[in-house]
Amino acid sequence: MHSLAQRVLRTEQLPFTFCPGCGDGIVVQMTARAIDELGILDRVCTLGGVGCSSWIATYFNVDFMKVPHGRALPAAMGLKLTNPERKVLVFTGDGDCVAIGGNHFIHAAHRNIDLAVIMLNNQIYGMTGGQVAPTTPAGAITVTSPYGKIEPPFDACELARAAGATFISRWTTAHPWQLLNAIKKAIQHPGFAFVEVVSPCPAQSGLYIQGSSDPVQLVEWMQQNYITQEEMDLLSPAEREGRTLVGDFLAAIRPEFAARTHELIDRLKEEK
Amino acid sequence: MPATSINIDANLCKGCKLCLLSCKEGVLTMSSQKGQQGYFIPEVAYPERCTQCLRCEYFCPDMAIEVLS
Ligand SMILES: Cc1ncc(C[n+]2csc(CCOP(=O)(O)OP(=O)(O)O)c2C)c(N)n1
Ligand SMILES: [Mg+2]
Repeated sequence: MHSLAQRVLRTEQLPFTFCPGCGDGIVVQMTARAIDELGILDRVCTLGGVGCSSWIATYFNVDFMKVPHGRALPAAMGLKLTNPERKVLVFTGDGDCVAIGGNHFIHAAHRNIDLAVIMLNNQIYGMTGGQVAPTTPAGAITVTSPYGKIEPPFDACELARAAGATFISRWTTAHPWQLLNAIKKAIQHPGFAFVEVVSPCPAQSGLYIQGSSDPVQLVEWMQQNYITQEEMDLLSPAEREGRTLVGDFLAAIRPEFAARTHELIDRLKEEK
Repeated sequence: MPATSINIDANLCKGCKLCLLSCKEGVLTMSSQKGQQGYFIPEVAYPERCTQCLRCEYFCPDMAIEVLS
C-alpha cells in the first residue's frame, strides 16, 4: 500500500470505485498530497453530493458528509459556520455543481465563504450512464442528446468569477503537479476557492463525446486541448479553436462570510 | 545513482497503462500477469533507466505505484 495512502486515506476502502483510467483517482491522490504537505489532516472535513466524482470525498481519513445530489455546498456552508477553523473541502461533479446545484454554487461563491470546492468536469453525467450536462460541448451526442447538443457548454470558472469567487483555477488530471499546487492554494485561500478539474471518463464521455474509451488516448486528448496561456499564445487563431485554457486564473482577497458571521455574533453578544 | 525500486500494487492496479504513457524513459512494460482486479498489470522492465521523476506515480489514477529510492 502507498505510504501516502497509509497516512491520509481510509485504506480499507481501496481500491477506488472508479473505472480504469478515470481521472477521479488523481484528484484523490493530489488532495491527499495537499493535506499531507500542509499537515492539516486533523482540521479537514470533506463533503460530496451524488455522482462518481462525489465519492472522492469518502476516501480521506477524516470526517465527511455525503449529501443529496446538488446539495454539497449548502451542507458545506453549515459545516463551515459551526466552526470556522475547519478546512472544508467539497468534491462535486459538473452535473452536481452547475446543473442541479447551480443556484447553490452561485450563492456560495457570492458570499465568498471559505470553502475549497473541487469540481470534476467530465462533461457528462457519468454515474447515471452518460446524460447531457451543462458542460457538455455543443454538438456532442449523448444518451439524452441523440441528435447533438444544441447549446454551447457552460464555463464553470467564468460563472464562479461572475458570482464572486475569489480563487479560481482550471487544470486537468494530466497536469498532476499543477493540480496539486492549485489544490494547496485553494485550501489555504481565505475565501471561496474553486478548482475545476477536467477529468477523463472512458466509460461515458470518452465513448460518447471524444470517441475513445482508451485512457491513454483520453489523456493525450487533454494534453493537446487543455493548454496554458503561454501555449495558447504560440497558436494561430485557427489552431486556438476548440482549445480550452488551463491555469490559476484568480486569487483575490475580499471579506469572507464565515469570519464576518462570527464577528457579528460576537458583537451582538457584547451589546447584550 | 541510488537504486530505485518501484512498487506496483497488484491489488490496486486496473491496467489503464497511463504509467507507460507518462514514463519518458521506457522503464515500464505490460506484463502477462493479471492483478487482483482482473487486468494485466505493468512491470518494471528497466529499473536502471529510472530517473525518479515520479511521473508514473503522479499519473496513476489508482495510487497503485510508489517510487522508492
Ligand atoms: C435529486 C436527484 N436527482 C437526480 C439523481 C440522479 N443522479 C445521480 S448522479 C447524477 C449526475 C451525476 O453527474 P455529475 O455530477 O457530473 O457526476 P459524475 O458521475 O459525472 O462524476 C444524477 C442525475 C439523484 N441521485 N438525485
Ligand atoms: Mg460529470
